[in-house]
Parts: sequence; C-alpha cells; structure tokens
Amino acid sequence: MKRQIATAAVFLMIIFGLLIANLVYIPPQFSIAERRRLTTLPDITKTNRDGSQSLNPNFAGEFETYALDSFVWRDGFRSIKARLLRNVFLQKDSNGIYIQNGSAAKIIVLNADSVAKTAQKLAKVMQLLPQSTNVYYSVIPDKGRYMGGGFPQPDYAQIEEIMAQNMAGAEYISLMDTLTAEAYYATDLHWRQERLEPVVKALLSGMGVEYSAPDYETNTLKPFYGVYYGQAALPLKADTMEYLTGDWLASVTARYLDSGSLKMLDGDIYHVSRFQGMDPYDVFLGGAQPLIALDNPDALTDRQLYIFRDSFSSSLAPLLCRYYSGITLIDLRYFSSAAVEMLVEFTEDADVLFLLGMQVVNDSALSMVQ
Amino acid sequence: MLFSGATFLYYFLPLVLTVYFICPRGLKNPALLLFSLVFYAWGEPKYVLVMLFSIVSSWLLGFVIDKYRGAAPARAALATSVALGLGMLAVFKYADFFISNANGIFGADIPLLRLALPVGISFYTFQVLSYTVDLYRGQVRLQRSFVDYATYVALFPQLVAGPIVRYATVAKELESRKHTLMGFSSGVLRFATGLGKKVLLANVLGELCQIYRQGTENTVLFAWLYAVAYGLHIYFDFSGYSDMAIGLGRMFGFSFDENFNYPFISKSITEFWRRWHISLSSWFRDYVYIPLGGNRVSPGRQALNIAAVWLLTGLWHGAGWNFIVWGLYFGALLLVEKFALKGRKLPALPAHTITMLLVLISWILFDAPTLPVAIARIGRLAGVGTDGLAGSLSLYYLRSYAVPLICGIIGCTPLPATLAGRLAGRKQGLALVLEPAYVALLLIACTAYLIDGSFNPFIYFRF
Repeated sequence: MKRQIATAAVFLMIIFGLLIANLVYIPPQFSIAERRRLTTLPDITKTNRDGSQSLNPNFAGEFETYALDSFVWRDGFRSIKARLLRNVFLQKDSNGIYIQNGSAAKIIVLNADSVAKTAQKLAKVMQLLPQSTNVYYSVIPDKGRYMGGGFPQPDYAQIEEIMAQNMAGAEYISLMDTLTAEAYYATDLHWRQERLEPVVKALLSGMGVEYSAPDYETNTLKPFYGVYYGQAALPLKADTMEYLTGDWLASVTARYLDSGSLKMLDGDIYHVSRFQGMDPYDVFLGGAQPLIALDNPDALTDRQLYIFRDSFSSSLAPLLCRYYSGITLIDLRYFSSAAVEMLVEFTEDADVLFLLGMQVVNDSALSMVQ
Repeated sequence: MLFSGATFLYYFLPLVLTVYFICPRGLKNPALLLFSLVFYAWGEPKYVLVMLFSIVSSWLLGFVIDKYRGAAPARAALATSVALGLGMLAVFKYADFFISNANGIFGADIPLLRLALPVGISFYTFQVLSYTVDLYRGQVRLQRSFVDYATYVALFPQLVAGPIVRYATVAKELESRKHTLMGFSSGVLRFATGLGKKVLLANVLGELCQIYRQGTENTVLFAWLYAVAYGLHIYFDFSGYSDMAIGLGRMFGFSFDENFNYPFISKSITEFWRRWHISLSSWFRDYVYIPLGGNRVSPGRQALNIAAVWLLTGLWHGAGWNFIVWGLYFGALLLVEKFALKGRKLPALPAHTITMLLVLISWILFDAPTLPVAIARIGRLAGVGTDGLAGSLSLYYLRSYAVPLICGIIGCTPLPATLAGRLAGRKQGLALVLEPAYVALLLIACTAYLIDGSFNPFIYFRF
C-alpha cells in the first residue's frame, strides 16, 4: 500500500506541480539559447478576409507549440534531454548536432541534387556579368571536415566535381587545405576572423592579387555563445570573438542597402553593439544584409571585387579590403536575379567571387531567391 | 490532443483528474463525457458532430434492437447501424481511394471529395458496432442512459487510437466502478511506462527511420537498420499508446483488455496476431470471421473467409494498395500455416527467426508510400539495388542508435516486466523507493524530450 501511495503521490505532485508552475511562470519572448522568438499564446479566433471572426483551425497545434515553448525551466529540460541522449542512450548526435573535442558541429549529408541546383543557379547569375569580368568560385568546407571523430561528412570531392560540371567559365579556388578545426568557433558554424589569413592568401592567389603580410590589431569580445551552443543544449565552453582592425581599415567606408528606400546608407564595418543581440556574429558587417559596398581609396590595388556570398564573407570581406578599392557583397538569399541587374552595376575587368558555405551549397532552397 | 504532449500532460490531465474525483458518483460519467468531447474537439471541432451522430444514432437504434430482438425491426435496426457506421467510414476514409482508382481504370474524371479523416473514426465506429451487434445477439443489455453510452464511445483514454473496447467489457463499470488507490497507482505505472515507450523509444527510433527514408545512403546495412527500427518504432508507438490508454482507464476505474502481449516473441504468424493489436484481430474474428462461418465450413470457404478478413484488416489500416497488399500478405501466410503446415512446428529458434523476418517485411509494406517503393525497400534487404553492404552513414547510425535499438529489442520481451515483478515481490522495501522513482524519472525524461522535440503524432492516428 505504501508503494502505491508513493507512486500516486509522485505522479500527482509532478503533473500538478508543473501545471501550477507553468500557470504562474512568465516565459521570455526570446530564447537566447535557441536564437528565436518563442511562440506566444495563440488566439482562439481568427479574422477572415471579410473581417468576420471564426475559430482558429490551427489553435490546437499552436497551443501545443506554445505550451512547449513557454514551459517552465525550458532550457534546463533541454539540457536534461541532451545529457540523457549522450550519456545514457550513448547517441552520437542530438538533432544532428554533435560535439567532438569541445567543439560542436552539425551532421551534413550530401544532397547532390541540391548542390547541382545551387551551382546551376549561380551559373545563371554568371550570365548577368560583363564578359570582361574574372569569375571565380569556392565552397567553404564545414568545420566538421576537420574535427575527426568518425562523424559522417559530405564527399567534398564529389561536391567539387558537381560544381565544376555546372559552373563552366568560372575558375575554382580550393579552400580545403587552408582551414583547420581551430579556425572555426567551437560553439558556432562560422570561421574565426583572426584565423583567416590562409584563406585570404588562397583567394588572392587564385584571383591573381599579390598578398602582403598584414599588421592587425586584435579586439576581443566575450563570452561568445554561437548558434550550436543553444542547439546542443550541453555545457560547452564559451568562445571568444576577435575582430581585426588596423591602419588599413582606417579609410574603409561601408554602405548598406536600405530595403525600404533602396538607397545605400553609411554604416560601420564592425557593429560591436550587436554582440549583445540574438546573433553575436552580426558584429561582422551587421549580419544578414542584402547588399553592402565597401570602399577603400587606400587599397593596395584599384581592383573591384564582387562577392556573391553568405554569412561567412561578413568576417572575410574586411580583410580583403586591403587589396581591393571596392568590394560589393551580394547576398543572393535576399536578391532575385532581376534585383541584381537593377541594383548592382558591375565594372569592367572586375573580379567576381561566388563564395558559399557548405550548408548553403547543400540546400539549394537556401542559396538564393529565384 | 496527444497523450504525449504538454497540453495533455500538464493541462488537461490534472484538470480532468481534479474535476472527476471531486464530482459525486452520479456526475462522474457526465464529467468524463464532457472532458472526452473537449479532448476530441480540441483538434477536430467540427468532426465531433460526426462522432455525436454515430453515438446518437446507434443509441437510438439500440432501443429498437432491444424491443424487437429476433424480429424484422431489430434486424433492420442492426442493418441500419452497420450501414451508417460503415457508410461513414466509406465516405470519410475510402471514398477518394475508390474514386481515384475508378478514374484510373475507366478513364473517368470524377472529382475527389477531399474530406479530412475524422480522428479515431475507425476505432469508435467499431466500438459502436460492437454495442449494436452484441445487443442484437443478446450478449449485452440495452444501455438506457445516453450519458453512460456516450461516455463509453467517447471515453478519451481509448477514443482516438484504441484499444477497441467492446461495450461488454465496460458495461458494468460504466454504471458502477470502484476507485481504489491500488487501481489508480497501477494506472499511473502503466501510463508512465507507455509514455516512456512512446517518447523515449518509439520517437527516437522513428528518427532513424526518417533518416533512412531521406535516401541518404543505399546499403544493405541501412536497409536492415530501417527494417528493425521501424518494426520496433511501430510496436512501441502503438503499444505505448495502448499502455497509456489502459493506464488512464485504470485511473478512472475502468479495466480495458490488453492490446499487446509481446508479439515479437511469436514463433508463428498465427501466434503473432494473437499478440498484436489483440482488440482489432478479435473484433474481426467475432464480427466478421465467425459470422461468415469461421472454421466450421469447408476448407475452401474457410480460406475465403480468412482472405476476406485480412483484406478488410488491411483496408481498415488505410485506404491504399500497400495496406491491402499488407493485409492479404498476412492472410496468405496464415493460410499457409493453417493448410500447408497444418500445425507442424519448426524448432523454436528457426520458427522465431522466420516469423520475425516475415513480420519485418510486412512493416516495410506497411510504411511504404507505394507498392514499388515497398518492393524496392524489401529488395534492399537482400542487396538488390544497393550500393554495397555498408557505408559511412549506416555504420555511424548503427553506432549512434545501438543503445536505443538494444533497449527496444529487450523492451519488447517479457524480461523487463518479469524482473520488475520479481523485484516488487521480493524486495518490497526497495520497490517502495524504486517504483515512484521510476515514474518520476520517466515523467521528467519524457517531458525533457518533448520540450526539445517537436510535435509527435502517433502512427495509428490516421485510422
């Protein structure tokens, strides 16, 4: 009988305890760990096009999402799950995120069709470019390639082959041997700006620009909890973010496309205040921006560079400003081909670089708007 | 609303338990009925009317059956009940299947009805028919109270995914049932175990199946990983839900029959279907097979009866050719066991191995979106159309899912329950701590998985 009392009591304490806790708990609007806005209590009715009200047909599903998103001690429960999965069930990854030597990465399974579609989309954009431009492309390997541990990795040789088949007319610059596991943040998918000199060298060499050793000043921001920190829900040591400045950056100006007015407005290279925001990596060139123009009248050459890019180029482009008098960064995830033609004027004899990370290349739906 | 969801666990269940146990005896059924209707309407507000129509019509027809039992009006009322029940199933579940096949065969262009399938219609229709048929047969008494009858049909523990509870099973408990601490705590234990099966095993193994379906690697190892994982996934998903239903029933004083009895220890297909989804197979036996003559007819007719039952069983699971083939597949195997093997048995290990292989193949049929996909997946088990024995992905997932797979394989045997039973019997002091700790750990672990995961509907939810 005592056993039955204890079992019933424990069960009732937990379900009633958590009911009461959830009723009194005021959940945050954002999850910093997960980098997203949490679902709020859904409306039981919805407004139709004619202004009338009817029952919200999705209320049940939305309420369940809200109940999970607003659950008391949500991050703690996620951590419990991650620990159970890793330490009890001995599974190697959680939601596709794994940890090796204190660094988190994502399992990427090669989607050859998607890679081909991405390359075909880029090839279409190439047709907009003046004949005189020098066109290059590269794929930024995912950090997992260098981390070891026997986790599945995409076949990069096959990726290079697919890209080459679909991007005739563009010259490939390999970055495979320029990076190491330490060149990436432990808690984020991105590379570390202070470790990018081999990448800069390889790109410049490929584009026929002479490299010269830089003189950087290092600025430190910490702690940096990258995107994988929240997804892994496991205790990972925080990263330190470093951004590089120096004399070479003094004369560089940045202009950003304002999506409302379609005008280019002045801004900073490094947005340090964003370090406290939802995505600290936005420190570099303000994060997700459709079009950025960097000008450097004191560059080592008067060449122009156009980079069709994703977020990785945000930390790379300031380092290339030493060598190019003008760098235009175009994020095709926010641009259609028609918009590119309308908003970007390509100069003759410019260098054009298609530079995308592995995760974007592997998912053609991410790579650009049609 | 799902049992394995935050809405049910931490909002609905505490509320219904509170109201139910506060209510005096005379209001307990109305309270259960009200909450059951809310439970159903939560996800399907307009289709609660379909269920209510089924309840009202069968209850009213029950009066005619009872008054004129043995006479033509009773037969007519029974026929009407069957026609209404099966008619609703036909319209909501099978109409578009028949229309699209007719269009394909005759080149017609009949528009599809595109009706959403009311959740649980296959379950509550069979429950309603069990009442009217058993009433006609004189095996149960007329239920004069609409509230009690509606409570039986709509009872939320078993409403949307079974087990199929016969009216005869709960007739007495509807009117008079005991609420004991022993019953409640055994219900808690059963519910928690079912929740753990669903969230910690079924959902996890389901992830592996989903990875396979994405077609990332085409090797023999991955094909076998998928086959085993899917078999365990569907077992723990469905038996876990049944455990939760039975456990909830016990909390409210009801005793539902068992729906699973360790089917994966079976040494023949006949035995498998005595252990798997027992409520469904026994329903078809009692309401289709035996009325058709059962095994008291000529062998030829008996074979036809078996084929008919298994055609219907396949169709019950889904409006698709793969389900029909799945049902007929089992029908054929049962015919072989009955007429070709004639009770001859192999030694235990080969019998068990062959049975499990045949069952695994059946689940591939069950899961495939089309027959050609099913055939291709089955072929890969033997290396047909594969790119090799194993690859980096399959080896990785074998390592990564080894513990859940092993837990699943052990968990589908009587071993854990046997050990727990011995512990409870011999070490009562230890069991006093371990049993509530087990329930607490399961609840916390499952809550953690639910919060981290996403919406996770049961496989059998589409029936």
